[in-house]
Amino acid sequence: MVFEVDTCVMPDTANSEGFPELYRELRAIAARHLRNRSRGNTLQPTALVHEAYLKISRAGFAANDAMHLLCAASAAMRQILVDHARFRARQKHGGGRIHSLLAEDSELGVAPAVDVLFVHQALTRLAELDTRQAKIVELKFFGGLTSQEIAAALNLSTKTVQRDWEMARAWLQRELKSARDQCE
Amino acid sequence: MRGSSASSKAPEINVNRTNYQFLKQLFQTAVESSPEDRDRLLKELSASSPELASELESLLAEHEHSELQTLVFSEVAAETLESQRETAGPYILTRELGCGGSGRVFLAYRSDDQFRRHVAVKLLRSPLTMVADEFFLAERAALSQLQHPNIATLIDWGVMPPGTPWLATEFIDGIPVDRFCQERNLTVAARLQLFRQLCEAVAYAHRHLILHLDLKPDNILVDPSGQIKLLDFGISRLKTAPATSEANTACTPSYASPEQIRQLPLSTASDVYSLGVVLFRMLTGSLPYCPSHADAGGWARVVLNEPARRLRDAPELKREQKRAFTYELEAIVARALAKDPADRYATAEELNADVSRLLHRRPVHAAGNNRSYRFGKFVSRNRTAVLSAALAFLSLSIGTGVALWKAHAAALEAKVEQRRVEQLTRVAHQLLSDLPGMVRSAPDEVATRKALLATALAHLDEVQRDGVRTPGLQRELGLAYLRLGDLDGEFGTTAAALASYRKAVAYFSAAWPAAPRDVEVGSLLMEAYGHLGRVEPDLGAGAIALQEAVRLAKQLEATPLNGQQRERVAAAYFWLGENEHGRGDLAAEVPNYLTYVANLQNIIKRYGATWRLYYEVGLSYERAAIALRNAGQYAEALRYANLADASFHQALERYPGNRDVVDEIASNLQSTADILRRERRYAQSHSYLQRSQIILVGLAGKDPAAEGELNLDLSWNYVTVGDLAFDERKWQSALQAYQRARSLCQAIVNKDPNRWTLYAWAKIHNRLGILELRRGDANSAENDFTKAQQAAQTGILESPLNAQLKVQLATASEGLAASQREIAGADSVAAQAAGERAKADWNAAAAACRQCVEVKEYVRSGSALDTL
Repeated sequence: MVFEVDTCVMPDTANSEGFPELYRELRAIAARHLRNRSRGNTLQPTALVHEAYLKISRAGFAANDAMHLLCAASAAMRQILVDHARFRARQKHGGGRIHSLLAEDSELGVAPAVDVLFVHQALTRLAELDTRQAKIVELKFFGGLTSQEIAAALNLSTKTVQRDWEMARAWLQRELKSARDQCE
Repeated sequence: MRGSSASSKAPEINVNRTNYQFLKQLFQTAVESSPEDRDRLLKELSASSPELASELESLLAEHEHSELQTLVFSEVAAETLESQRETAGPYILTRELGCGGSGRVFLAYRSDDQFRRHVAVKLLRSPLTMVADEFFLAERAALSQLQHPNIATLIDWGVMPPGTPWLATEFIDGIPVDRFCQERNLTVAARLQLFRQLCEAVAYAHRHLILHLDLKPDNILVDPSGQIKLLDFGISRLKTAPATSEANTACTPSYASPEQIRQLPLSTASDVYSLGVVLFRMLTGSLPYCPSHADAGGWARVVLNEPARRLRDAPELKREQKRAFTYELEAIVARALAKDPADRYATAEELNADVSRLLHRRPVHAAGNNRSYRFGKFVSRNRTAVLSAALAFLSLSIGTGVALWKAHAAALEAKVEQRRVEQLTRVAHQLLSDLPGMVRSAPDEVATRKALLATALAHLDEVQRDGVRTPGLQRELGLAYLRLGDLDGEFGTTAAALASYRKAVAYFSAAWPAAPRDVEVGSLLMEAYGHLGRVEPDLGAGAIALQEAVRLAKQLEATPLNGQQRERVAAAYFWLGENEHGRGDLAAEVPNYLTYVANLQNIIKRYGATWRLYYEVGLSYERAAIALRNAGQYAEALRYANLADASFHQALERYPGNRDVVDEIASNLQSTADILRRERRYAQSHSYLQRSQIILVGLAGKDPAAEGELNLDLSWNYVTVGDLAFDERKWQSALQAYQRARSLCQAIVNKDPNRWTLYAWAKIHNRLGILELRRGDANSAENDFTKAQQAAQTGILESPLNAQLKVQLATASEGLAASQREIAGADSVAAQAAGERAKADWNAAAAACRQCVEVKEYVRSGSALDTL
């Protein structure tokens, strides 16, 4: 199984065939989960992505390998969360200020633990520096995939994934902190 | 570079794809080496490239204190969830819905409810330090009594440590009413309907002696089904002890009444004021005041001292919005926003009634300094007295039978009985007088009106069962059946309307001789005859009823009448004229319209002009013009059509945007175009038709209830366009126009095949047939003439004396004869038979309407087809 890493990174994935369908599907699933959340469910991207995968693979989605699909689903998930966060930011503040999805949507969350838009922007910058690292973060963060799954999806060793993740995580964390400092 | 732009603390470094790969190698080496080796590595690097060294150092620092280890979306969400769970009493709060001046609102569910039904829990900001427990309990009991579809039900409440009161109410998934109006871009009428729901909810609470005192859009939601849901009832009173006046300042200043600001005693009129501000906001999107300082003090000064601005002076209004703000609507808002509670509507019910009157185009109380206005003032000044009198009466009637001496019991019983009858009659009267007259409205409102009528009739029946036969009762019964007939006529069947009107006539006839001086009853009897005559499809029977109506009208005119009665009575002439028009009695028809006009002009002179009076004048001129046109007197017809146009515009000036008036202006333009066409003034005719069409197309889509009528108007418009093209010998354009007319008319005639729609249907097919015949397509022509013939026959079955239908029938028969001559030859049996039939039909048409130009033409030339 040879995997083309770059097709998995936004925005390329977004333009690939079948993405709109995947995006729609995931949105529907996510919306349902969001609606039912007060019944004790939390928003589990892993579950969402897997559910979307099952649904779409049954519907005969063009992709013929499972990992590609999970990969595309993660990208779709990212797009959904970013769209959602942007929508919220516009709604809340009439545009401009970046707003946290988690602060809005996690039940009673007070401080934004993680800001989806910050992550998204930092990740876009990271992709310019190191495509593979950005991909790994996307799969882990938005797809909820484990290092093993990522390794399988990207056709890498688990060790490489782990190393890349460690550095990307450090880099992201620094970017987020400084962005947060700037905001405050 | 973008890579460093977000990082203010890191030294400036030009990180790019290439040196990032280098950094990556260094990072991996450093992570895997001992701390000492790491330090050495950093030292060496800073000698050659200090920027990269500092970049690496910052990354390694982050790596050591890695928070992002757990930064997987789902885990964060779950963590946040668990740590933040809060409760109020037995409720688990799941999500904050919003926060406002009085506290925060959460989505919640009961911990022991396995279905986890959603409720909204509000945590009040201020602890209830000043509120006595008993007061709290009493309020709770009162509030939980409020069970109304437009009020969010209070489910539970309590106090949680350290003294924060909470309330659990029904969870409403809605949006604030002002936003709803704006987002849906509702028409003014729809906004007013919505506002009426709000008034009903507030009025309901007022009847339970509960004031809201914090009415504002945030508390007024519209749920997904379009229902108003009012939140936070009684909370403003809860926020303070009963004896203190702090409640007055706790409310939202923009919506607070002057007496709330000045901390004076509050009443139902205070809620009326806030309703006025809410209405202002719903209609314009802004508030009635615009203080230079937006703080609370600025508001207070402005609200106390400056007059509220008019709706049309609100900022950022579109022109059509301004036009919809009639002076009646302005008057209603102004009265609700009066500074002195005594000048306001005393209750939400009164405000609601006036909005209802406006919607149903009846005189609005706020607009005139009439008697009921002064009475309203009296009641609001003496509110307490009136209320306690009512309460005293109620407790008296409950307690009587038991408490009094037996000897007095019989006499008392009779009195109580009489009172009961009076009361029931009064209730019924109240219900009836609140019923709007003949107006267009939404189907659910029809249901409401029917339900109200049913209630009224049930009350009256109950009285009647007791053997009571007073003129008063009979009059109320007559009124009930009269209004029921109006509803039936408009939304039900003709047969039901006829039955109701006949009953109304019977009751009024029984009541009037007993009270011959009661001109109100007389005028109502006349109205009942009039409406009966109007809906009667048999024009002969209709004429008898209408002649009786006119006879009564003449009798009543000799007695002193008020303006409203005069207007009602005068309408008899118009109705009779209509009937004569149907029967083709053109000579009798016009004088009746002109009598009506003369009466109306007298009323205008004596009582002042209203849009309605000018509208009626316009209608009469318009009908006169049509009658004269049909009689071939084109110059006179044009004169009246122009007078009609002028009257309609006078009506429109007094009621801008009124749909009926605009509609009638378009119809009149169309019939003027038709007169001009017959005078061969084609260019002018074209421009009139165009104006008419522009108006009709502009009206489309604004009122779904009126869509059918509009399509019929548009259809007629195309018929005239076709006629014009026909006269100008533009056959192709004529064909297209008639085809358009047919497609517009089809749905209407299918839905409601009455004498008007069938007439249109027959006429359109006759015209199509004539065109096809001319083109040589005798088979299609035969088909269309057959349809015309069928439609005309069906119409004549319903309305045997209708002259216009007979003309159409004769035209269709003659067209069929001509088609047969083409298809089977002039000497064929089929052609001969069809010719005979056509002759017979023409004779019948001629008998029905000797003055019609079409008939005259036929009589002159022996064939009408060439002249059409």
